Amino acid sequence: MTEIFAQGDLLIERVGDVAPSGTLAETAEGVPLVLLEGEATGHCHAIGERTTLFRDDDLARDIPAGLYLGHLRVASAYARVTHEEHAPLTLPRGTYRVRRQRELGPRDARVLAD
Amino acid sequence: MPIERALTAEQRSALGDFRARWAAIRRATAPADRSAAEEAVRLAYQAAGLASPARIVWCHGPMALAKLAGRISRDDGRNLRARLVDDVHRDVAASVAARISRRMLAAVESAVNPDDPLAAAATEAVTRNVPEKNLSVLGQLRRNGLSWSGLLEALVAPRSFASCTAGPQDLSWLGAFDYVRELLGLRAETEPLRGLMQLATSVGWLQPHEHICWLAERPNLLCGDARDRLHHPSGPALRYPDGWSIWAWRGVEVPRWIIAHKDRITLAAIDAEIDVQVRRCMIEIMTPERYVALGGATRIAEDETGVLWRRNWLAADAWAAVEVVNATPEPDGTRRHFFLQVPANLRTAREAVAWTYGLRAEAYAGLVMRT
Repeated sequence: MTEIFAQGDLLIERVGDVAPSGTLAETAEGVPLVLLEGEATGHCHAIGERTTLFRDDDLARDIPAGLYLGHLRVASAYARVTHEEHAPLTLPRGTYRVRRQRELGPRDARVLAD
Repeated sequence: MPIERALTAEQRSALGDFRARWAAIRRATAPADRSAAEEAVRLAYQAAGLASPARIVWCHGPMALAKLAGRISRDDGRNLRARLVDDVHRDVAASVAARISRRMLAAVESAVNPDDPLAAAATEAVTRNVPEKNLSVLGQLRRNGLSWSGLLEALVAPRSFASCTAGPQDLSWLGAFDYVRELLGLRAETEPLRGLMQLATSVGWLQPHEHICWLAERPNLLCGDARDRLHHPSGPALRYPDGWSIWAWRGVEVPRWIIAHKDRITLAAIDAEIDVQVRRCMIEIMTPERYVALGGATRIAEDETGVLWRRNWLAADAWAAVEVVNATPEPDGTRRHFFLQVPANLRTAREAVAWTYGLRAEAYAGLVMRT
């Protein structure tokens, strides 16, 4: 069973390690990596520890369109995902797929950002 | 050739400036510069090899334009939208493509003129609201049934508003040619577009004919939500100087009273509403919490992930939402409840919550921690 972590409108599932490919983003020293910004509140899901975020659409074909945010590689012992309204989430070393939440919109499904 | 290699660093960074400039043009709400626009009309006609129109008529918005232009007479001459806009576009694109590759031009076009959902929504709202006298035969049949006068009109009618006029969305492709003109120096090739470029920056809509050209002012109000859908929580989302306006809730055009008099939204009013989208907006405006509390929906299922609520309307459509509770309490110890609308065929709250993340219910069982 895949291990799943959720923080508000963000869902993080543990996957097997893969070499980072596709579009890359890394946390710079002292600048947190923002996984998802809140739309109305300005709050965001962020990681302070050094991690690598990369998008590889081939590895996300089973995720509905628009929900895939990227793969997250945690190389240090752990990474903490923080958010102003939710308790922090601790992710052990490993690779994760990060996706966002949606609801049924006026004409189709739409993504959420709390 | 990829755009990154074909352009200098300076040319690449200018893509962003042109993108912003043309986004501002599409969304402009300032009054038209009438003398610049009239000069632009003459330039555009000239570039298409046409004589200037004898008359230029200004309207305070596209509805007024549609009303005036709907009374068109034989003396006004043929509609020139295709010759003035589409033909010139095609010819200039061909001569630009002779100098730079089509792929390069396409790359510049997508960089300078990405889809603009708000401008597209405003255009769609306008064209949907224009009373189309000149419906197609099929359209006449659908709307009026078999009426001989309607069918006759459809058979001899000129084309629809959308194909006779050009609005902000129809002219936004000019941004890419503005770029290749200014940054890549293709001035001679793009010269025929000068009039159209000036028109795009000066007017809302135009309907050109051989002897008369109608011009409409731009909207004086255009509002969208964070996802660029037409939206305003307390007033019109789109309004023209002639007072014609659209009230919209997150991309759905709704009757004015639903937004102007929210207190009049009751369960009975929701039940009486025929349009499923409008009904949905009414529930959103009333708030799903209140809708559920007033007895609008029935509790279908409940488990540790949340509560599934549903309401069916005469088998025509259904409203379903899953109520989830924040795992992290607020500072005062209470917890926030969210109602997320989900497809109505889901049976359990777990299935519904899993759907919001694009998962199957079984996969969501792997949840280790939720905060």
